[in-house]
Amino acid sequence: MAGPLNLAALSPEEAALSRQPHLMKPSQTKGGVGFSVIYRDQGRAWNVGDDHVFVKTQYRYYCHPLSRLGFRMPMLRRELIALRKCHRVGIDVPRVIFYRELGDMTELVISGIAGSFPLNEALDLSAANRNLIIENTARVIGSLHRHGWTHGALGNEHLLVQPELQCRVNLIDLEKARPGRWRIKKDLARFLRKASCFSQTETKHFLDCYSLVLAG
Amino acid sequence: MPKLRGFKTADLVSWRKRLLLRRALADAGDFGKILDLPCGDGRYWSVFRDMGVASLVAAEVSKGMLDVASENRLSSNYPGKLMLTSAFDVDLEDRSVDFAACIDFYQHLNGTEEQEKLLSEFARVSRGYFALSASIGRRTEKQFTQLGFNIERVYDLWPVLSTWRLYLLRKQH
Repeated sequence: MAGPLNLAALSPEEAALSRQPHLMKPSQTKGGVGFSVIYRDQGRAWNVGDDHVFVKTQYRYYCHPLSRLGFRMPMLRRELIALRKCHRVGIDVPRVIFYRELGDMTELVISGIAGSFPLNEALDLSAANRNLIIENTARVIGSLHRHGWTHGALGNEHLLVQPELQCRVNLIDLEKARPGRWRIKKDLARFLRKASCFSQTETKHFLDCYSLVLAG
Repeated sequence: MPKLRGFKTADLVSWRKRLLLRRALADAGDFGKILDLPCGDGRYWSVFRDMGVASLVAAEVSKGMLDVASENRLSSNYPGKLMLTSAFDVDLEDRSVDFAACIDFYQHLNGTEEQEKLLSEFARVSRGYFALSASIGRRTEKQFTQLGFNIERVYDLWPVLSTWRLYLLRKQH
C-alpha cells in the first residue's frame, strides 16, 4: 500500500497528457502512516459549473468519535457530515460535489468560494464594512453553536468572507467539527484568541451579536 | 477513550468485489484493450493481470488518488498507461477500448443527469463490454438500456444483504 505521496511520480510523458491540478496543501502525515493532500482542480473535470473545486484526498486519516463508541471513522466522513449539517441549518459552507471511500483512502470534493478572503484580510480591505463582517461572523458561529455543534479549529483562515455578497461569511475546513454543547465555550475561546484582528470594541460587539444569535 | 479497532469488513468486501470483477471478465471472454476508470489506488489491477489482460489503461479523476496509484504499479509497464482525465469527458478516442470498468463511482454521483452523462461517455469510448458497479434499482437498469447498453450479467455483492451490484453491460450495436 502507498506511503506518503511522491508528487513527482508521474513521468513527463504522462504529465504532458493530463491536466495539472494545483497543489494547495502539501502532503501532511499523521502518525507517519497516513497522509492528507489537497488539490485545486477544474470544476468541469467533476461535471460542475464552478471554475475551481477542491479535492481532498486522505489515506489512513481516522478519528474515533464518541457517537461511534470509539470505532474509527475517516476524518473526511466527519467533515462530510458536518458540511451536510451546516447546509441543513442554513450556515454558508462549501457545496459537496463528490465523496468516496476506497478502503483506507477517502476523497471529498467541495466547491470553491468565489471572491472570498480570510476574515483578517477581509477586515483589512480598504472598503471593508467591518461592522457587517463582525455581525455576520457572530451569526455564523452563533448558529453553529446554537445547534450544538463546534468547529474545532475556528480561526481567521477558516472563515471566508465574500465582500461582494454583502460580506457573507462561510465556514470551511470542518474536519474537526462535531456535536457537543460542552465544547462550545472552548471553541469560542479559541476563536477569540486566534482572531486578534478585532479591536476591544469590536470584540464586545461580536460577543453581543453572538449572544443574541445563541439565544435564538 | 480507548481507540478501538473495528473489524475490517473492508478487506472482505474488497476481496468479494475483486472476485466479481474476475467473473465479469471471464464472462466477457475475449478482450484486448481495457479501461479502468476511476482506478482509485489500483486495487483491481492484479485482477486484470491475472485474467491475462495485456493492455490496461488506468485513469483517475483525482490527482491525489493518481499519485497513490502510480506508486502501486504492479510493474514498470503495468498498467501500460496511467492518465488523469475527467470521467465525464474521457481523454480517449471513440470506441477505443474493448472493455471498460467503472467501479465504486457511479453510486456516488449526484442525480440522474450526472449518471447519464457518465454512461454516455462510457458508451462513447467502449466498443464492447462495460462493467459498472451500482446500487440495485429499476430506474438504474432502465437508464442502461436507454443509453445503449444491454444487461448481460448481474453479480450481487452480498445477495439480499447489500444493494451493491456489478453489472456486465454490452453495447447495443
